[in-house]
Amino acid sequence: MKYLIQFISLVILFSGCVKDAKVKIPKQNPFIVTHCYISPTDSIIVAKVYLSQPLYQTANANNDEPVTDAKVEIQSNTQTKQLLYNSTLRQYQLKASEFNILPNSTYTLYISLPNGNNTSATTSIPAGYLAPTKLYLDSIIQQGGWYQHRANLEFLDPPNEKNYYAITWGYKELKNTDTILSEVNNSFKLLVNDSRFNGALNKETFNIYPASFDTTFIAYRIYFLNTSYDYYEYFNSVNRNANSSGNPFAEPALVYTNFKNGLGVFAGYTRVDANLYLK
Amino acid sequence: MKIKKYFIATIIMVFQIWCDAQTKYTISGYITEKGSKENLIGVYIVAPKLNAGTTSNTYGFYSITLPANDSLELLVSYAGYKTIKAKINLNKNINQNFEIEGTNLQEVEVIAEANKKISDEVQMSTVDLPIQQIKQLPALLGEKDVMKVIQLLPGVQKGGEGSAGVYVRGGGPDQNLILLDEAPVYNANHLFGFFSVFNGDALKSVELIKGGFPARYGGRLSSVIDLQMKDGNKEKIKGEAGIGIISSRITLEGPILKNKCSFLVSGRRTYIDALIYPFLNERNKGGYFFYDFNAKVNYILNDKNKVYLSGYFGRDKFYFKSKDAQFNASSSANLNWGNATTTARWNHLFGNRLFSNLSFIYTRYNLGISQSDKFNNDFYNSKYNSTIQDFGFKYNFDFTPSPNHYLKFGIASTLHQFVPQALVVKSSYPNENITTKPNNVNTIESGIFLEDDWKISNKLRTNIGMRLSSFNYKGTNFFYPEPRIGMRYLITKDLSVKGSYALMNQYMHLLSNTGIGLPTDLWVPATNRLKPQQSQQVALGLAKDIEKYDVTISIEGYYKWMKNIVNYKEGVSFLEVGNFDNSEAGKLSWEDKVTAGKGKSYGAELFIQKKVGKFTGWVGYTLSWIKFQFDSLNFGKEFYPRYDRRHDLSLVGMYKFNEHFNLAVTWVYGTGNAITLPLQSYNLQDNNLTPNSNSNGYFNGNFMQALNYYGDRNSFRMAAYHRLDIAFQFHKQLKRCERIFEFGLYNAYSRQNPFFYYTEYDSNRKAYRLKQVALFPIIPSFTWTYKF
Repeated sequence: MKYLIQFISLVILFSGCVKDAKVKIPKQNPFIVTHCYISPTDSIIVAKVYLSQPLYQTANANNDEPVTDAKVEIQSNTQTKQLLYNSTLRQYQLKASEFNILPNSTYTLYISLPNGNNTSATTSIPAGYLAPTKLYLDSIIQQGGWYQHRANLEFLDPPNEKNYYAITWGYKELKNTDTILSEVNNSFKLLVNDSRFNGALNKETFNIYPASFDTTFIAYRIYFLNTSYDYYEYFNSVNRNANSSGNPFAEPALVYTNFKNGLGVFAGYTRVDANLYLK
Repeated sequence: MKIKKYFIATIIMVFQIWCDAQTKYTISGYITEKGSKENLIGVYIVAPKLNAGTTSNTYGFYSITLPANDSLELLVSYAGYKTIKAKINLNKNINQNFEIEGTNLQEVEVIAEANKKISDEVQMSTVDLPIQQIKQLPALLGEKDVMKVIQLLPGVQKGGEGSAGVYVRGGGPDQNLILLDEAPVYNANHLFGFFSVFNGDALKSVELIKGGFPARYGGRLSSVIDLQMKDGNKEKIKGEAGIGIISSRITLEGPILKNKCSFLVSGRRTYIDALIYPFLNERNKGGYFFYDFNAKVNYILNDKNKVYLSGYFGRDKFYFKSKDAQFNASSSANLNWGNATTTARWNHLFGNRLFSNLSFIYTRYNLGISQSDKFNNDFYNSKYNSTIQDFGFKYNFDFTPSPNHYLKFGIASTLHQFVPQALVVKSSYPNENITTKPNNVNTIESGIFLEDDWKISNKLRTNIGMRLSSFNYKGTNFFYPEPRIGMRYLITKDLSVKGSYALMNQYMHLLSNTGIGLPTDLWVPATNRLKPQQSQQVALGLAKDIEKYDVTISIEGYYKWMKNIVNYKEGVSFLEVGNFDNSEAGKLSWEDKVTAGKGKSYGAELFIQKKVGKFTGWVGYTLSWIKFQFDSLNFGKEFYPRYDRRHDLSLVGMYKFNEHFNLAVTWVYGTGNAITLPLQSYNLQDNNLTPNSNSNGYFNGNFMQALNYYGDRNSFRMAAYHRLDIAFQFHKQLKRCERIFEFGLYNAYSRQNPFFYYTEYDSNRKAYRLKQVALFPIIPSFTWTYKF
């Protein structure tokens, strides 16, 4: 399908006439773009604040340059705290010891700029910590000429509630079981909701692979996250957006945000980490 | 309980009609064209002094029951034909066939009473397109196309530049019931939608119904496009051949047994593949072609029985092959799709008031994609196939018990066989092998209907009907009554107000995530989870005949509600297999990949038409709004679909200078399509679960994935579309034949209408530019036609 669409697109591009579109594009004001993921297990609360870049106007901001003069506050039912800008890490942060992130709680993040622009979003932390009931590798498979491990993760979904999960993985390169050479967060996310298995045991199977198969590699690190709807929907919409790109005839998938008059996501999760040893 | 009430009401109505009919006599028969004996559809038969009339049905049959009269004057008229005046002694039931003679449109004798008036008809939202006009109008590359002429009518919009897809009153292309000799055609497109599958040389009539659907039609929400093939000349052999820039065509028709049995065969094939062949090198070969073949044979068994057998077969094929001997590598790809339809029909007369037609119908649409790659000892072969085929029958009756009633009733049932996707992958890497079980689904769709065209008084006439439709999917039955009503009230003798209501159900969905009518769009049945689509439409309008100028005017307003319409969820497509992309979409069935929603469309249409005279043509204008709402699209907010078009204007004019020259001009204007345009960009900041780790910086394969902000779905309008087409025909009548040379200009002032937009970074401005791709500049065409 993709090849067919690419072929048609190429034929059209070569046979058709290409020129600047003569159409009026409404003037766009940049949005505040905030990414903030909170979890009871994290030692620090981090918010990264940027401005979006209107595409057709001469650049007046850079996607890669963070906003440094925003006022960023997090609020729970009982307290409000400000996150301060760390110019080294280019992020707003607050020690978790100064602000309690608790399971089954709701939080709001406020961001305001000196020019009066502001945005806010609310998210919640799932009720508890859910650990996999089973985690194992069952085979090495060859996919597209690459060798990969097939991993299986089983867990029992709590009944009568909507739950969202993210499974992601990294790998540790170890010289031996004690010395960590490096730890890599891979960022691939398997996103799951329980609409197909509410209250039942569920098994997810996914392929994982290290940078290279050599003698120093002995374990994968699996992160099993119970997430808020915002977390699940944001990354799912990012996936959908990526899948719909490259086809000029298809409707692009819109990326979710829970910020009012802003972009990005404020999302909560609980997490359980586990090592998956090769031997 | 409700069904019982309907049944009792029907019995009472039929009894009243029967009593009413006791003192009257019936004239009935067939109306054919002089010289070919081709059955003529929609011929107006009127007794002016009695203010009673009827029209011939799809098979040219008419029946009219009138009070006894020893000198009844009857007029038989049809646009483009000489009107017949007949004196009949009506003191018994009479079987009277008429042959009417074709003439030049400007030579028609105008007899006011004989003209079929739109102000007199009950049916609204309907247009008959004369095939002769379709053949005169300019067309892209000279390829005359019924569907593109339909796009010029008010209430009908095209999808994109050059596309043959039609969108009627807010409905998608899947919501059009396209019937070729009663067989549904599931994919009416050639060449990715640039041409339709209908060869005008084989067609006799085209009718479009946009609303106020009579009860005899069902199964689609938005329109009926009813195409009838010619029967074939019963008197002498006739033929027509044409050579165009990209295709040639030939049609042959004639008697097998004179005046009893005739045939028609018509074929068309493109030669794009032959034209590009010399430009390809030895290592890479590829091409594309399509062909159509229509055939029909009919046989008059006796006065009461006729049989017909007709068929259509068409196919598109795109292919590519490459070979590299040096690396022992080769690859090939094939994409082919096509329709096949067959209809066998038996007309039978039960007396002179009851006409019946029994049809057996087969239709099939098939898509196949294959790919083969070889590199040394490694290989990868894949075959994808999807099919829908129908086996059906219809048994319909026309009953004319009295001058005030014209009853139609019947029964139909169809077995739909779906093979939505079947994929086989064979590779030198065994883990890549895939064999999906063909997920065959058999469903049965049935319907019975009754409708009555009832003349309540000289001013008030109605068409009241009821269709009971059902659909069976894996043991689950859907059953819906579909009431239909149309009404006409004559304000003056040539001005009427009309209204209609129709409830429609559609038991199959078309899944498309390209929007350009690719053959990969798939038909799937309604299921327990994806309920049948349903629409309700009300329309109100005025119809006016201006006989002095042979002009008709209609103004209509409509409002349509649709529910259970389907769309792919964002970012998924039908051809995804496996779950290697770590997305949920890879694991789901097609039912999980689509989402159901609702829609509404409303608007007003103006149609001014002149069918007769030296100058003919029409003006069509539509003002409309279409809005959809899906829980899984646009985050649940209402949005305009791509083909929402606020203003749509078509001007069509044909002028016959003399018997040698005629000129046709069309100009179209439409508000730009609604699209989703990227407006701002920003970067994803991922959730780093190991703050002290060496993050590889990728998110699902994309480094620091750049994201776009689009605003709401389809919140941006493309530039307006407008285009002027011109065709000039020169006719030369020779002793035994006629030659027609046509010169055409498509997009005469070379308007660069955008086909799609894309963004490109301009490093000087440090900003993106919006670029547009326009498909067709001015395109001349030449066609040579030879008729004998």
